[in-house]
Formats: sequence, C-alpha cells, structure tokens
Amino acid sequence: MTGAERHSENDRTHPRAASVPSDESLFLRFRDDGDTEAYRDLIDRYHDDLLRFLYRMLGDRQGAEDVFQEAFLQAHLSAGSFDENRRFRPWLFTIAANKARDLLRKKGRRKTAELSAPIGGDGGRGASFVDLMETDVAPPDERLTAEERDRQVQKVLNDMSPTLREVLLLAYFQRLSYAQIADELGIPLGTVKSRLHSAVAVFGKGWQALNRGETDV
Amino acid sequence: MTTHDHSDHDPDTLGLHADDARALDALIDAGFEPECVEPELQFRATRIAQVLGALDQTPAHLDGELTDRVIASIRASIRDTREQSVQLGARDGEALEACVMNGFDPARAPSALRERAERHDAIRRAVTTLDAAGEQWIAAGRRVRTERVIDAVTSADAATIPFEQPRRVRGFRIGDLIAAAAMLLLASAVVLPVTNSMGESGRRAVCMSNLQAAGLGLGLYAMSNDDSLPMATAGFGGSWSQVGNPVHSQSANLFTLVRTKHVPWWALTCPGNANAPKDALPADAVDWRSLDEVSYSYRLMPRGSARLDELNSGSVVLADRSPVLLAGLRGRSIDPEAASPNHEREGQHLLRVDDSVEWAASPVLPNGDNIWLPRVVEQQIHSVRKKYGLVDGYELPASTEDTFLGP
Repeated sequence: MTGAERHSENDRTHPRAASVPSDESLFLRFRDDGDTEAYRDLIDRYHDDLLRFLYRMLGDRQGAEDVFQEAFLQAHLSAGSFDENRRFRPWLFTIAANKARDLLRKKGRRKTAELSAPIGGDGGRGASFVDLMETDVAPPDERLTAEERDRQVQKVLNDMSPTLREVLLLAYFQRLSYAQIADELGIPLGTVKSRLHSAVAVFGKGWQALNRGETDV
Repeated sequence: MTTHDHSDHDPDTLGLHADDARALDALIDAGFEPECVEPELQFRATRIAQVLGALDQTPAHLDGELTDRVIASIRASIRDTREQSVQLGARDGEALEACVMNGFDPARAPSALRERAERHDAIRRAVTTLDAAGEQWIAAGRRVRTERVIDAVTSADAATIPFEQPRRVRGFRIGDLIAAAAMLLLASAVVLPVTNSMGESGRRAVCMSNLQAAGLGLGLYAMSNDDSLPMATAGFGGSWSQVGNPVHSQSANLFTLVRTKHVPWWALTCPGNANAPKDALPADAVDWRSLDEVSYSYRLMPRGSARLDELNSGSVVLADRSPVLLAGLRGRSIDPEAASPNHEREGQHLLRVDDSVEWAASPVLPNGDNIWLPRVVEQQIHSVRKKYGLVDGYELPASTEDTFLGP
C-alpha cells in the first residue's frame, strides 16, 4: 500500500467527514511525505485543547507554552514509533503529559505538606465519602466570579498527586471509555477505574473544602 | 490538612512547611537529638525525628540527597494516605460510570443518575475550560506558537537524522555532506581525518536522537506502568550479565521497551557499535543475542527498587555502552575511567531522568559518582589508591623476581 493509499484508507475509517482529513492522516502526510502544512494544520487543531490541558497540569502559562512546543517536537522526533493503527490524539496527550511531568520534576515543584498535621484526611479515622451534590461548581454561582472559580479549580488540581491529576485530566480532556484509557495508558482497566474514582473524589473534596472556606482540605 | 501560601518558601527545603523546615534544620544542627532543639520548635522536631526514625534506622547518617528522599517519601506518604481516605459515595460512583460509558454526556445517563451525572459533567467543564483571561491568552498566541513549533521541527531536521528515514540517506548534517564532497574531490590522505570526523559527527547525532527516543519510551512506559522502570524477568539480586538469557539479563530489561513497542529496535542501536544488528530482530525477540550487540548500558537498581520516581531528575538512566563491563565480564583488566567504545573512546552520551541528553567526556559525574561502577567498587579502588599511593613515583619492586619498569 502506498503512502497516499494509506492516508486515504485512514480518512475513510475515521469518523470525520471524508472531506476533513483525520488527525492520523495529517500526521502520516507530515511524517511520510514531509508535508509541513499538514503538521501546521494538526498543531492548529490541537492548539486550544492541549494548552488548556497543559495549563491545568502545570498551573503556569510559561510552562504550558514550553511543553506545548516540546510535545509537538517530540511527536515529530518519535514519529517512527507512531503506530498507524492507533489514534493520534491520545498519543499526543500522553507525550504532553509525560513532558509536563518531567518539567514538574525538573522544577522540583512539590506540594507542601505540614508534618505536624494529622496524617490521613480524617486524622486516621478511616475513609471519608464525598457527595458531589454538595460540590457546587456550575454554573458559576453568585459567590464566585469566573476568575475566582478558575483559580480555585487550579488550586485544587495543584494539591492533588500527579498520578491522580494526570488520570483526571486525561479522562476529562479526552472523554474516553475506561477500556480506551486502559488501552492508551497500557494499565489494567481496574486500575484506571479506581484511579479515576479517587481522582474525582479528591477533587470534589478539595473543591468542597475551598468553597466552604475550610482550612483543612 | 492545613494549606498555606508558600510563594516565598525556600525551594531547597522541598516544599516542607516553613515551621517544619526550621525544625528540621534545627534537628540536623542538634545531631538528631530533639531534646537539644530550642523549645519553640521542639514539638515539631520530635515529630520529624519520629518520622525519620520510622523510615530509616540510622537518621544520623543521612546525607543531603537521602534527606531529600526521606522528606519526599514522607510527603508522598502523607498525601497518598490522605487521598486514599477520600472516596466517592456509591451513587456518585455509579453516575461517574454512566458518564464515562457515555462520553460524559449526562443526557445519556439513566434518569435516576442524571442529576449526579450533570454534576460530574459540571466538574469536567470547570476543569477543561479556562476563564476569560486564560482563553484570551490561548487565542492571542496561536499563530506564534504554531510557527515556533514548525521552526523547532525544521531546526531538528537540520541537526539530526529523522528516525523513519533511511538513516544513511537523508538528514545528514550539512557538515557531513561537505566532508563527503571533499573526500570525493580530493581523495588524498589529508582527507582521512576529515572523513573520520564526519563519520563520528553523524554517529553522535544519531546516537543522541536514539537516546532522546529511548527517553520518551522510558517515560511512556513508566507512565503506563505505575512509574515502574522497564523490567523483563531479570530479578535484581542474581546475575544480570547473561545477555540473551532474559532471566539473568539487564539488557533484556531495557529491551522490554522494544518488546512493548515503546521504542523501535533500531533506536537502541548506536551506529558507533559495529556489532549492533543492522536488521530487525525477530518479532518475538526478548533480548539482544550477545554482549557485543548491546549498544547502551541501562541503570541497575538496588534490590526492591524499580521505580522512576525513586530517582532524581538528574539521575543518569542510560548511556553509551560501558567499556568497564565489556572488559570486566570477559575477565580483562579494566580502566574505571575509560570512555565508551561507541564514540572512539572520546566520551559518551548520558540520558537523564529529566529526558535531557548530554555528552560527557568522563564517566565520573560532578558528584564523584562513576557511572560504570557501583559505589562499593569505587570505594575499593579509592582505598587501594589511597593505601598504596599508586603511581606516585615512590614504589619499588618487591624483589628481583618482581618486574617493574620506570619511565
């Protein structure tokens, strides 16, 4: 099968309309034929979503800008390892998440933890259950401006462990099924499920605490 | 847990609460004796000493790096414990299931769960959208960012050989092409050093790209495997030097990246290794076939450790193949500070945990750690040198039977 036929085949199997080339097709055109315009289209296509994702991962704009560039550059450098039968989007987001995590490590950024505080969210008394009906996040209520809400969302995310933050953001930004996430991350489905449940619960609890003006999150 | 603004916090204290950081400093100054710490900090110091004691039985011997690690462990432990104690209520859990199964479209959730599904979706929207200032930031730089990426990609093409292209046909550096043209035109002995330089320059560029690809593969593998480093079946504690026997082979551990398709096979072959395979290995290969085929040396981990997040971002995880192992495993004498044979013994590339790749003329890192040797051997070499004062010009043969030549 020639490169052109492969691209065409990819377009047919993609849910997009035939007139709109799929992400995978654009990437293969760039990789195999050196079509820079195709890569430019692809960058443009992912520009907003990837930047939002990276901003939420890192919590700062400069870091998001840097990793955005690094992720696309790395996708190019690793083009040879891209499996034509897989989707481009999760591959790109996984690269970006990996780069973002590296940046966090490099910056030595760590969540603060006061050793004198009780260990365990409930002072070691056991599990606490979150009721999301008490988690008032949307629409923006009267107490919170959009800016305040945005800042608080970021604060709660920053307070989460990188592992949970990653799975939450990958799931939210990609809206994949458990099986798809497990497939893309290469981890067991049960692990994806339990991590996502934990991530939502921890986010919900952090959000509740912030909005109640509690100091214990 | 109390939260604080630590914007003015000393980054060297790894994010400890300011009061805890002071207490830790005081505790170290007091030789890990909490009773000797000033009364104001004594409670915190006692608590820190308790935690340190629980993690390490010999806190008095903590060095800076270990202290960092212990503190990081404490912090991670506290956070993990806290996160594990938080769970979704049963109905919220069911609603989350419905959301995930239906692409986070609350309208497709069962009516009994719809309200909670809408709450899940509200959280998702709050997380995936930014405020007006954030959206403005994104929109304002669109064109510049796109062009910056294209520029970076173009520059990378000019500097390195693309992975998917035939590596000896496209992507040569301009300097390589000039050197090749000079060779054809002049065809004289004067050209020999130029061609040598050309070849090595190209080999180093490919090698560096290989390690960058390996770094990406390692990161993706770790991300997909709970931060674990790639392991095949070789357990640490037995022999790891039997290339081709995956039960006892460290190279098989690294080869896991190829087996799991995180890295193409050729990305783990350095062009400076004349014995590296030139053709793809069988699809069911689990390791290289011989020590000579191995191009890169992969970090061994202490017993019980196999996680990327246990390493510092600057830790070396992969490098051009070790000359010390090549010689030592064959019973030959070793030069502990020799450079890798991959690049004419002039130095070696190092891949660090933070994905950076650098060229190092010496295998001895700035902190004194020799990447080719475990600390115990380094210490033995050091003690022998110290004890016998090797090559200090005063040694004499033990007897007339002992041959010993001077300069």
